[in-house]
Amino acid sequence: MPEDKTIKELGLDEYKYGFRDPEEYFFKTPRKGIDPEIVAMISKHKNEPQWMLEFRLEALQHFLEKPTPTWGGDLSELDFDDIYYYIRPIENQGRSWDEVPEDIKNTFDRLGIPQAEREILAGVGAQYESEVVYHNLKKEWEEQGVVFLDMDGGLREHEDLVREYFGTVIPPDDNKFAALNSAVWSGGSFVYVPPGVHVDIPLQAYFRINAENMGQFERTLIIADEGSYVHYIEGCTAPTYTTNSLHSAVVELIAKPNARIRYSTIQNWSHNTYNLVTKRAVAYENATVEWVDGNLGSKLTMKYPAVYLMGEGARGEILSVAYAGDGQHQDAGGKVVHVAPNTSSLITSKSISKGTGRSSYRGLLKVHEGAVGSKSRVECDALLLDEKARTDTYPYIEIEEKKVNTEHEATVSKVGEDQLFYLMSRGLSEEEAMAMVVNGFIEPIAKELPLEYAIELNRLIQLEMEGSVG
Amino acid sequence: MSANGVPEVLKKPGVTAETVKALSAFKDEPAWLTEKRLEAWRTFEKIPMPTLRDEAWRYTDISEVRFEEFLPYAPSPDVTREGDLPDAVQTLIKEGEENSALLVQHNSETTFSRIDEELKKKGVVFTDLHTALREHGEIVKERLFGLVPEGYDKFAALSAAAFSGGSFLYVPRGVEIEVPIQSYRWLDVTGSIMPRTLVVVEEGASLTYIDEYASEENEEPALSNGAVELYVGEGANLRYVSLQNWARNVYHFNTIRSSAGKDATINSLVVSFGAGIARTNVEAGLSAPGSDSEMLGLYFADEDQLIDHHTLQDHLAPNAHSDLLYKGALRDESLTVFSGLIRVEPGAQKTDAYQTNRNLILGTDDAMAVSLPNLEIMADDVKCSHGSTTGQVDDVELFYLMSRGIPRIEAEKLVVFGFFGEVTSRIPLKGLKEKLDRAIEEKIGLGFEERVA
Repeated sequence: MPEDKTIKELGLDEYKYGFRDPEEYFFKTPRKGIDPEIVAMISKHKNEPQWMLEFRLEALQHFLEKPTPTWGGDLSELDFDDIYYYIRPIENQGRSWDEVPEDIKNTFDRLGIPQAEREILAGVGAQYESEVVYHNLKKEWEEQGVVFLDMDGGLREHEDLVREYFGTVIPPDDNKFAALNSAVWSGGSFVYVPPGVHVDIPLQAYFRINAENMGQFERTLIIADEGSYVHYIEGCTAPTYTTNSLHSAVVELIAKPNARIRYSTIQNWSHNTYNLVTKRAVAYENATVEWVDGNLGSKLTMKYPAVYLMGEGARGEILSVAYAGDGQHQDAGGKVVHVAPNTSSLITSKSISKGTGRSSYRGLLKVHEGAVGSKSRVECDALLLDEKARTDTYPYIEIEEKKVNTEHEATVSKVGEDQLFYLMSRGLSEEEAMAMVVNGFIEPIAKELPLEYAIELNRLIQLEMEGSVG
Repeated sequence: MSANGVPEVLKKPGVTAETVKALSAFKDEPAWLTEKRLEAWRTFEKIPMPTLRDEAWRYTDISEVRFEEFLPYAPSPDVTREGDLPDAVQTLIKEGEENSALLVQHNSETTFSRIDEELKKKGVVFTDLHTALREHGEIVKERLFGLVPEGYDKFAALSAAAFSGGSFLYVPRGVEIEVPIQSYRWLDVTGSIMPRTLVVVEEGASLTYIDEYASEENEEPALSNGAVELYVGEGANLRYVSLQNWARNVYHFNTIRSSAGKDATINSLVVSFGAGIARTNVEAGLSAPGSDSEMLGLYFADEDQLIDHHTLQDHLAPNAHSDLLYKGALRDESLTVFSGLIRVEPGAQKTDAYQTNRNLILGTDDAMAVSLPNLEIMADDVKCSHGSTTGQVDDVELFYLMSRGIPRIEAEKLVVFGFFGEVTSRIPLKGLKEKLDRAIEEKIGLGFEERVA
């Protein structure tokens, strides 16, 4: 095992995206903390319809009434009064990168977003603090009726759709953090894919927190109409400050009959970010929802993407990979609720704990009475790289229907000495051998991502791994 | 002991400081125990009643259980010979495993105990806890409440405050006992019974001990609140069986915790068939290197029964091994909860731990099986895995049997037996196995034809 000193000397455990821009903003709430006045200020600033203001204020009540969860990760250091809830970096959103202010554009350049847009994406949204600063959808998709806007734009241009679906999958009283998001949400994406339209290259949103003591609360709503397909990718980073940031998103997905939504996340927040996210999808007849969820960054992540299988033949798949390094706690997993007959689900979770890192799988598999013929399988593998690392598995399995088949399996292991020995006997260094074993371990997840992202994931993990063998 | 001489305060429902003092005085207990009981009673008063909001109770609704309604102490008639025991108890004994020592707790009192001369000569002690306190005070003082302390939960606190009867088994170093030792807890009133089992197995000894719980049918509710502490010394070997078959009016709460010495082996089997609500915590402490624990569980819930098992494989030392298999069937409107945790403490390297829970849902769709197989691993050089499945009777198996000319109903029974066979085949006790088979058959029994799809 490595000496901590060695890693530090090598400078390899540094967070690569920790750079920051100077803080210059168009608008920022006058004080930290949250109350009805701040909420009303945000809503007014956005010039929202009255119903949204009421929605926000009601959500705020739920937030204030609900206790902070005591399960999962340690939230005792999270101070809701020490956070700025809304920061608008610039006045207007850009439709081309040239319209985005130089320093913000440079940030996204360094993150490789404009290049990815040119090469592999159908559309891109880039959120900086509370607002989306750049948004573009390629013409061919726009012509087919695909809507890809930031959530505020969605509310302005498609108010009826938003009003119909917003908060229906995750109501404001669902949990404390969903309530918080519902009260102060800003930014995020609104996606609508018309019946039968297959958006066969991904849409991407990129989220960046720059300011210190900043809370980012983006809100995403994706509606895939009958028989359509869309793949949405989100990535996130933030600078490293000595104080903590909070990211608390709400993501709602609606897959109409025969539709398919794939939602991929590569979460790489800086190691002082609390990442407390609620993600949930409903899948109707023969629809498929897939969550591909990679958690590498943050101080504490609590996130359990969910699929409610509401229509016969619906399918849900959750692939989760978590990497917890020194001081990090990844409390991730997935939830599947089988409501309709002949629905099927698969949850695959892979986690790696290194140093003093802790990764936990927390999941729910629920089969309601009447979900006859449902099949579900949950598989969790955990890899421990250090003596001080920790891994937990907390699956909840509730079965109310007998004509079902459910399986849950979990294994925990360390990197096998025989595996390492074999690879090293083939001429690999110990470090290379270790990286190869780890890559093999996450391979089932990486292969579900578009090539460029899979490479990025492997590279990120390799970067975190470097110097870990001594 | 007859009802004569029972202090008046023990004839009133509920447990107060007065009850605890009177019980301790009635049993002529040493001062340290009276103090301990009172301290436990204060803990009991302090801990709120668990609700569905408590993680460990989130599926187990015990809001109908009211301690203040139960008599804290239920007397029983005097018995001098085995033939004077209630007929039902004699039947239990006859149908049970052959035994080398026997103890019967009838309601709150131990009314009968017997031990083979040969064992006595070897220094084996098997008696009720009150006698043990008088005759082997030092050992009891050292060990009692050591594994299930009053602070464990509200029920453990109540047990420490108000236990009576109970059994104490002491097996000296190197003594190997072939024939099982058996205790029966029999309840035929509607009060509460608070048995405690304390087993101390010294270095290199080996034996099988069976705790069996049964009662007379009754309309009024009764409460059984137990604690079982199993100390197994270096290289020793204990097979422990808990067979719970209370009538449906009984609420059953029990915590079983073992501590295994270096290279010791503990095989436990916990069977839960009876009671309206049954909550059993089973904890194996792998406290020394090389210790080994096999944990088997078997449950069958019907009607509106709630059967809840919380298990813990507590790996405190390196190079230990544990293997858990809990299998349950459920039907009608019943609810079963299995919550199992493998916890590997820092430094418990080379741990090998396995956990499997399988549930079979029979009959109507109103039953619900909850399975929570948890892992908490804080050491890196370990092999741990768990698995959980829930399903119905396998159509392929049924079809195969039916194609061999076996009628559907019989085929279904065979499949259920086959399901439990994976557990029962791992128990080398013929009498017990037959008893389990009969109980399973009874559970499948009446009305099964209509209910199994």
